[in-house]
Amino acid sequence: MLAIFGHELGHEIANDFLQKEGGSSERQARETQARLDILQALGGKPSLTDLHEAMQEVFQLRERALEELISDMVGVYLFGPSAIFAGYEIFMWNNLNAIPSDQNGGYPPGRMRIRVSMEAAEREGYIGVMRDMAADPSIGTTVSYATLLFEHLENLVQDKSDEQQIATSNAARIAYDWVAATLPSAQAFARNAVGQALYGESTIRSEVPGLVKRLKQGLPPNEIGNSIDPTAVDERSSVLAGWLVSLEASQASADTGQAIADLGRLNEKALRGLEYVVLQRRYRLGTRGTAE
Amino acid sequence: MSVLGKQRLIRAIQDENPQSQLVVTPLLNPSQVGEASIDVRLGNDFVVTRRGNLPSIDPAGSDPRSARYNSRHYANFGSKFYLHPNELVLASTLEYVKLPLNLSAWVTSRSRWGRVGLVIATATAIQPGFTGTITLELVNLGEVPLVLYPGLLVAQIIFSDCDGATQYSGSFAQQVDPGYGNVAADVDMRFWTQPSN
Repeated sequence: MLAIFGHELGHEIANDFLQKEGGSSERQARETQARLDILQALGGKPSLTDLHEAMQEVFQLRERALEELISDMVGVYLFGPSAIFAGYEIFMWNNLNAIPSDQNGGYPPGRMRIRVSMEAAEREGYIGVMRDMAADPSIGTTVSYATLLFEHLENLVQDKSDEQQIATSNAARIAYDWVAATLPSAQAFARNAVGQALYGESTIRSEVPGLVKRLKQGLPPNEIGNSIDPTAVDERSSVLAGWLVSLEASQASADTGQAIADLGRLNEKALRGLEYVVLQRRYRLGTRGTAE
Repeated sequence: MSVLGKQRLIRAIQDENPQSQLVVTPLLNPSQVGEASIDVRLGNDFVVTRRGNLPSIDPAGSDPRSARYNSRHYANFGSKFYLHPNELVLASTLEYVKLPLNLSAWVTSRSRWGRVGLVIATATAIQPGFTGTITLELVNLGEVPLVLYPGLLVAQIIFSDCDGATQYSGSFAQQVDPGYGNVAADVDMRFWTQPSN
């Protein structure tokens, strides 16, 4: 759930991008192209009403797609692999190829959202670091459940049936051609906006293995080392450690009842670990409030 | 069997072997490790009994509805929790502890709080191998309400050596919140509570 917050924070960045791109020459050129595509799709001489409605639909679909896709990327930059696990937990229950429309809120297809998130994760080295951790004998078994999930997602996004579905709708096709042309600059904008808040691959590498071991020992994932001289950690590493051990617990046990009980306790401990990380930081800084 | 003094407490915490390491986390201030105990803080969660709705607690009948007679309160840091005279409230330590198998412990009030009437635990033993937050049974034995704040150092844990222990695997293992136990769960409860024929 916490990893979803990254996506919600991303909406601010997405709105900023859409506002700033408005006057750019690149945007104007692509907008002209979209208008021509719409005219062609409507047979060349549409009524003004039809043209207006079609343009409104294309522009709205394109804007909604960028809002969600940029927010997804920001979620990945802020929370790393946890954002992908959290996103998949939501998308897996829906039609991954649903054509975006007014009826479904203009959301891009789940398969496309996972694809864009996976591409961002690959670029930031998150997938690579997970594979490396899966090869670590001390935590490899636990992490291997996450790498298996990544393999599943890689197969899922290689399937382009979402794009084939979009191609069957004139409005969605034109909007998403435009989205594809905009996505590289949107990605660069989002990455730049996240700046120092990026959850670095090196942080995962240095913190998550120790936190996974703590969780496996029945401890909250809030620090590494001993309680007197602990090494402080990033709370996002606590979240990721929680995900990794939960993925193992949910798949490794043949006893469903036991797996549910184990998951409940794991979630409680991971959440407590996260609270401790924040409290420990605030106590060190001497401020109990939100200013840090 | 000896009580662990400060140097041994520190050594037990700094032990690099997870099997024999003592964990009390977060240990926000090193001064919590005292001469022969570790001071622990009040957590944020409280369980209050709504006694107007609860006729009695009878171990002969485990009433699943009893959970309804408890209400949970979350007090944020900086907010007050009023403990009224003669009121029993469950709370938990802020800290999560893990005892190795060679240590057992008991939790007790800190003297300065005891002197204003605060009892923090009635069932004080902590078993070897226990992991989790420690449930505190708060009672105000004084005449006026006590104002409690989460994070205050209200209790202390005293540790002693323990030989031949086995891993604790009871229902309170890995708990993070306070909660009532099942007083009817003892194996011979029926023998002691059923009327004779």
